[in-house]
Amino acid sequence: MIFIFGGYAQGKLNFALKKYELDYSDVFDAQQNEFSGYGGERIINHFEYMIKKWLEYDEDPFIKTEEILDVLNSCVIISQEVGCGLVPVDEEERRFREAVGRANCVISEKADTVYRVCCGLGLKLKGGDS
Amino acid sequence: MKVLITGGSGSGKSLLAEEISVRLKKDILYYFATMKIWDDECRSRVAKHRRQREGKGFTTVEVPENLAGCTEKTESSQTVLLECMSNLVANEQFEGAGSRTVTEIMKGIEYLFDKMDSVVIVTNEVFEDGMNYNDDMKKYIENLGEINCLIAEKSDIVIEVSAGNTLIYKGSEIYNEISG
Repeated sequence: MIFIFGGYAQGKLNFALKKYELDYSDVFDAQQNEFSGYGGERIINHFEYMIKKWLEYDEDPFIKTEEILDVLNSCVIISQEVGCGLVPVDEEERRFREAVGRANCVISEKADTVYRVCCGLGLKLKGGDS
Repeated sequence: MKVLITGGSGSGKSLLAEEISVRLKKDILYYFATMKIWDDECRSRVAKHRRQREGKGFTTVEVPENLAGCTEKTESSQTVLLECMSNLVANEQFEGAGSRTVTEIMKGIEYLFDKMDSVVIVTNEVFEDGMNYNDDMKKYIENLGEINCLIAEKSDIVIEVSAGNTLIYKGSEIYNEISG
């Protein structure tokens, strides 16, 4: 499992495409699609939206993540850092922010390789040469 | 030499940018100030940064907008420290170039990269706060993010400063040579 995360508008997907020599046909966009439509794409982009949807359906993001771990294990997962600001006033937003942060920790722990992307460039936080 | 330095507010990125530009200086060392002075808070920030720069040999050039127009205010083949890209993008997006912000700013950057001996650019980390913003602010974050990516691609060194520590995304060997 490869995990790539970083702030909004930092070029995370482009970094992944270039790094692993993939194109848009290898990308599952979790913002636009339900996970039931996942078709084995190598990259799962916008993992934070999978969490958002689980929360909306009253599902536990931890349990759901565990359930699809086999799939995630063979993927490049891209998620957003959303936790470095003020606590949101809206309760739903607070739950979302917390859940994304926790999920990023869990995935980082399980991933073989972790990159933080900033200004379109990746800083390796974990892993070997892959 | 092209250097991009990013980081949060108060992270120590200005000080690092000043140190690097002083080391890269050959003849004239320009300080491109991008902030528009609105009120006393701006004035006191400017005073603090001016004190911090004092004695380091900077020649201040005000560039709150129209970066490409700096041709008339500077000699070529010199060293430039531009601070901060976040102000320049705000000024252009909300009062200057509008929807052409990225294009216009990158025109200025291309010019600097082409004509100057060394360019050090300070930008700001504002991308990790979730996206609970109105459309204007969202566009602003997208513009700054795109500009950061474009500049980083062309830069020799890209550094994020965090609590005074340096995380080097690109060019660690050259950076070590410069900082001796």
